[in-house]
Amino acid sequence: MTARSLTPLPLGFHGDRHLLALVDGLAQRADLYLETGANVGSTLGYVARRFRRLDCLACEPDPEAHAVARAHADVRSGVSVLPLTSQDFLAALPALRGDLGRRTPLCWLDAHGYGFEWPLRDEVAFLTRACPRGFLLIDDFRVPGAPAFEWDRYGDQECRFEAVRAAIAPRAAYRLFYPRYSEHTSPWHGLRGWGLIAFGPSLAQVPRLDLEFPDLCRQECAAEALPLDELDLEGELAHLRGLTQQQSGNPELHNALAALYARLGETHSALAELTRALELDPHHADAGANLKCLLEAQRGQPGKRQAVAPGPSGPAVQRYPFRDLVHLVDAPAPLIVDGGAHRGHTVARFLELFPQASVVAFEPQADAARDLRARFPGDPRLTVHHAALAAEPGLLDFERLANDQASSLLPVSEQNRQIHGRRLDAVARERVAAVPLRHAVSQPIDVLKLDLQGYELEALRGAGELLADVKLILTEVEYLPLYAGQPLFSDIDLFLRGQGFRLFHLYSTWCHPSGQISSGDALYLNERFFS
Amino acid sequence: MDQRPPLRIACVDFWPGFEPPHLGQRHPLLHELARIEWSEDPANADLTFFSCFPERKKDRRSRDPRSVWGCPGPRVYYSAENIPADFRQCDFAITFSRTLLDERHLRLPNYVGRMAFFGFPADALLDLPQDPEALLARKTRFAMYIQGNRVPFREDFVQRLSRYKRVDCAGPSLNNVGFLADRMQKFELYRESKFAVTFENESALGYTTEKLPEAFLGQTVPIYWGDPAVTLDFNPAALIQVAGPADVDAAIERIIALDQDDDAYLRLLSAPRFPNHAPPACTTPTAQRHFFSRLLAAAGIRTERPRARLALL
Repeated sequence: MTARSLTPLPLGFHGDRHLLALVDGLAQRADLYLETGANVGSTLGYVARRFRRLDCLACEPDPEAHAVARAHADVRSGVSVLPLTSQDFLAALPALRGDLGRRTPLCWLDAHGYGFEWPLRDEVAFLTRACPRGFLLIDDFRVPGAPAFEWDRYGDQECRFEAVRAAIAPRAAYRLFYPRYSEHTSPWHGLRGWGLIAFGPSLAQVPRLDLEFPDLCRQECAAEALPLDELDLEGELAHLRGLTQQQSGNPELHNALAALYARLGETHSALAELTRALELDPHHADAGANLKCLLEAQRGQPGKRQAVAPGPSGPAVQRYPFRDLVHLVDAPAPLIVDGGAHRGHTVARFLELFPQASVVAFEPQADAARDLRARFPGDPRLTVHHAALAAEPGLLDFERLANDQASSLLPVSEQNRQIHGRRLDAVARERVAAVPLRHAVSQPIDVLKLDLQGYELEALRGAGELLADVKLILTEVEYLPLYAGQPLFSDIDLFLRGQGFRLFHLYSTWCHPSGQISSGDALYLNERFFS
Repeated sequence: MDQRPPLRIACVDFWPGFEPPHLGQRHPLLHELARIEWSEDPANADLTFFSCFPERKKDRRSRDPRSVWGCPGPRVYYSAENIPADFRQCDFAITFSRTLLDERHLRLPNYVGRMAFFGFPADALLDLPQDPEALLARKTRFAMYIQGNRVPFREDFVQRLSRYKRVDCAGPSLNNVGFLADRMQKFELYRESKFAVTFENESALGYTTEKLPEAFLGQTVPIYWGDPAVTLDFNPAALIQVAGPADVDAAIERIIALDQDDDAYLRLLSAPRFPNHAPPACTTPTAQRHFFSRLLAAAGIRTERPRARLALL
């Protein structure tokens, strides 16, 4: 399935002209070039030819690609490409270069792709510990706020800073840089993202590459060689202040200083520095954006909607989830997932309220699923899965009850049976398909509705990383176990809070004649999207 | 000379190495139903097939070919990967999904097209070993493992099975034979082996790739993990299914028992590959013809045989 060219390219680093210019600058500071996932050696060969004083070591485990890489990079002495995985390569490195602890490597980390566990974290952990300073240039890296740059993301693995941050040695100070440009210059590849982690014993010894190469990179963040809670922001501030005094006409420095002031909560100083930066360069994009962010921060959080659903307020009010959803859903054509759609009552409601919506419905009971599909014949807005939502794929036993709306993958609890009696008698047992949401939907979800008779938490777990892209979750919750072993409201609440959601409202609380509440609906908002 | 009007088909966002005519080789029925012209220009195609490899890199979020290229005709999402269809982006879909109840969708596991692409007849999996005992006598290897992608669970299983007897690994993953098997060698090596480890890259409902069928074509007994419902499609008496990490020890015990019991092994080797000798209904030429006919009709191509006109004289 993954045929690839075995012909090396004449330039490395994708032939990205801006990245090549940055590498020119980095290579001047390095005395060792390391590359993982060298493939056919395009980049290794380029480095070997262009920077002839650099000691070059690389690895490539695929035998065919390795043979090509070895031939392509065989341009001078001091260049080796080993037929090893990255893990084995790093393990061998101290023996291959006994003086690694005194070297400054420029590393091109590209051993991430489809179908294997990436070594990226191990690479970052090893290199920031084995070398006192260096440059980790990571290919196919997510560049936040710059969607034009592509990055690698396969399954649970995503090539981004959050995935490697914890791997950086605590005693290393670092600065993270991303591309400043967005121009696509590669003749062969799309615009590929990269991240550059420059590290050293202290921040003062880690170069401000964004100031040296202002057209090529921007600094995203910096961390002193200390635990985060002891990060020396004051030291960094003093450092930047000194630089700004020396180069008072440099808008970059004023912008960087403003960012630091903002982090320290000194918004007046931050505004003053941004104003100065924009006086010096009225078209300075970062300073403009920072100013906008700062002003928005004073009004509310940027990029987020305010969670407001007009309706009754005060004590003991009754609200309705669909009325609130109308106010909270802002997409003109939302994607709605209806887990436990039964015969389409809520699907009909969704399509009525959001006529341009697409609804993906899941229903494990065969006849209910067929009825649901038949209720909306030929309606392209609806997709029906005859399946239960679950954490993992499989075939599960499903107990069908006399009241089939109460049927569940879990057995009915004794308490529930006492409340509802014969209506909860099992009338059939079916083997049903179970799919995790992450396998059935791949696009961001506006509303995830779950009514799964105790299986909601399993379904939420099955969403995996997709959950971060769900804006609203309307889920049934139970306050006492209606099904044996089921999670209760508190379990779901804890889970969703841990995933960045907050409870907006509780609805339709069902109260037993004894006064005991048993179930209801809860609406959660993703705090990534709502302030 | 084919007098039918041409149907211009464009293929976009397919995997590296894919060329549009490959689609016709994977699904020869297309050529039977219409006169196909492969178009490089999706904006002027009658029908556009698209997959999930934008810029030739796999991405869970496929792109709507209409918004990217302005495709005027029906859009057909064609997934050879475990990536679902999004009907906001497509008008028809061919995927692995077992659960979609939708006339716009055809479940067609990738192995069906891949077998056709490599020249196997559609019913090749129905052929059973002619002389299982002679076949067993020629098997000189215990087990074969030929995979490129490094999947930790799969590799861990192979290493644990190797504690019993050597597993020959002839792909890039765990290679211990000193060469990389190509396609034809793979079938030869399978024929020499009693078992083949045919774990998928990931476990997902309906996601059965070529790995399992290729072991059958190589006349060996597959050891399989992947689609938890695989035995709805393939005969459980013809393969060894590993349910997951918790089942590894028990599965290895089953394999050892089979290795030490020729009669039991021969029963697996000669068992029909499909339950009741019947391939999954969705993979049959009839199901494909029905789906492709509707798809071509949406693109303005009538595929029914024209009815004879009544003489009005």
